[in-house]
Amino acid sequence: MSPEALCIDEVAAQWVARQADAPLGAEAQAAFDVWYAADTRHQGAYFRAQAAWAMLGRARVMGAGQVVPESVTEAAALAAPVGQTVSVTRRRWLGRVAGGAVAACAGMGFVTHQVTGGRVALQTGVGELRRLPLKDQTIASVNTDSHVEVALKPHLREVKLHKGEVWFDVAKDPERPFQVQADHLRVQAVGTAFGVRRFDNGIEVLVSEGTVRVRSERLSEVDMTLTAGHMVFVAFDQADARADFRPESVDRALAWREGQIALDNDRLDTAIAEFNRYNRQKIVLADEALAGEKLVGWFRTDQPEAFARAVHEALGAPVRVNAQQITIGETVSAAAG
Amino acid sequence: MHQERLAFVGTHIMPHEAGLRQWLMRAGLSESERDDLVQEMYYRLLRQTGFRHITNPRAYMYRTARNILLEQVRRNRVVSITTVQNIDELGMLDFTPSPEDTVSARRELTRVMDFIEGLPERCRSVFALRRIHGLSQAETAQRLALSENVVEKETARGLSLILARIAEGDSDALQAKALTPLATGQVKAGHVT
Repeated sequence: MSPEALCIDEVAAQWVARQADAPLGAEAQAAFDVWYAADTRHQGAYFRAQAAWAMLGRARVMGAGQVVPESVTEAAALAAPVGQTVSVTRRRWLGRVAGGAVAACAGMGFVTHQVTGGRVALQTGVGELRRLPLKDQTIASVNTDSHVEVALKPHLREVKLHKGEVWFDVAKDPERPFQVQADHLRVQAVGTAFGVRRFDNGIEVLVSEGTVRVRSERLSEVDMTLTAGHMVFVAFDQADARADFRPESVDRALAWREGQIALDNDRLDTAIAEFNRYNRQKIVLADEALAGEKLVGWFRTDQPEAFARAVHEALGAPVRVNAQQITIGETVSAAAG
Repeated sequence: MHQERLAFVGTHIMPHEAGLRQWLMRAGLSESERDDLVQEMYYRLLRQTGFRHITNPRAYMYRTARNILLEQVRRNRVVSITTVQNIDELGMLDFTPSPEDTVSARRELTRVMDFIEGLPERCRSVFALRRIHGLSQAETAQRLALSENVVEKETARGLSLILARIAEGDSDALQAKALTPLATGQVKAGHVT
């Protein structure tokens, strides 16, 4: 940029920085007014700088944003989650100590829930996220409010998913297929990474690496092979199911492994339901008119309040918080901002 | 409402600014002419009462730039004569949104994080605390053991650097990074924040 305009842009940036927290004092305000009125280019440059400042604020409210780091280096590290977090590339994820809930719970499951005969049962409470390393080197990440049983048999690694959701990073072992069972449905993998979530009426399978086969013990028509990036919902009582190739959605749907909820143009009511999976402090939507508002962002599963605050900022909806619940959209009070 | 407008500009206009500047350069405008024109373009956006009627922001931006150019040519101000023949071309560019143009929130968030990451160290710390962690200037100063005055200066400096990067654009690096799914970020309303 030319020296002069660089000057205008720089001055604009300075004014924005000075006003970021508090209004200017009388003297400074007068100086600003003179500068601002002097030239339409000043006004344009100021508008541009404001827009950039506002844009940078979007990085706020995500998971990391709520926990203020203790040191500068940490602050710098948290400023760069893009480079570190990367993808479903599960190895990277496993390689670093994942934040929040995962770190807090890592490794606990196996010891406390070891049952005799190589069978491991694990039940997670609401909001709990557990990493369960299995003896065959497979890693199971068990999501909130779930119940699984794992049995490592000589010729089959068998996981019964009674409730909830699990993601597996399966250790390769062609001799011993890895199979997740939900009622009569079977999801089988050799060496791969995939997630299974059980609903009342069926299961959702997400494949982040390798290949997975979905079959049914009861319905012979149910037999499909899914490769990485595919997701499918299979109902317990229906044979027809179609897999979608949606790698981004798969990544996103697996965000819970890092204690995160990812929203990408999701409806507010859907997002709320998602948060309520993880927390006892429930979010209640008081204004149905807001239900269809679309939202984007990454949040910590255990920070519904941060989410509510963000909703408040984004939609201007009033938010009320008490120990039991967070109410969004009730016009009585507009606190929580 | 001003916040909404700023969000619109940040999301839908700024990502195309570098492209417009490049085009203006090819069209023969000098550096200072380009800066003037871009500032004028933002000024006109500022003067808009609302953005809801803008369905194709990039096309809108180029159209505005073209109008400014035409006016300046008429007034025989600022713009060099070589520009004139290119102005019509500006009106004929194809603005059918490409896949890269569709505003993906993830891409946008990645972009934001990338901007902050690219700052010099102290600047980056200040921006991380203020913009990511939402600390005030005073809190940031305390945390980093700096004076508030320094924090304010770093904030202005960082913002200037980021504005310069917006002007230059670096789509390659950004697009590669945009593939990483775990950008972190803030919520925004689906329509216009």
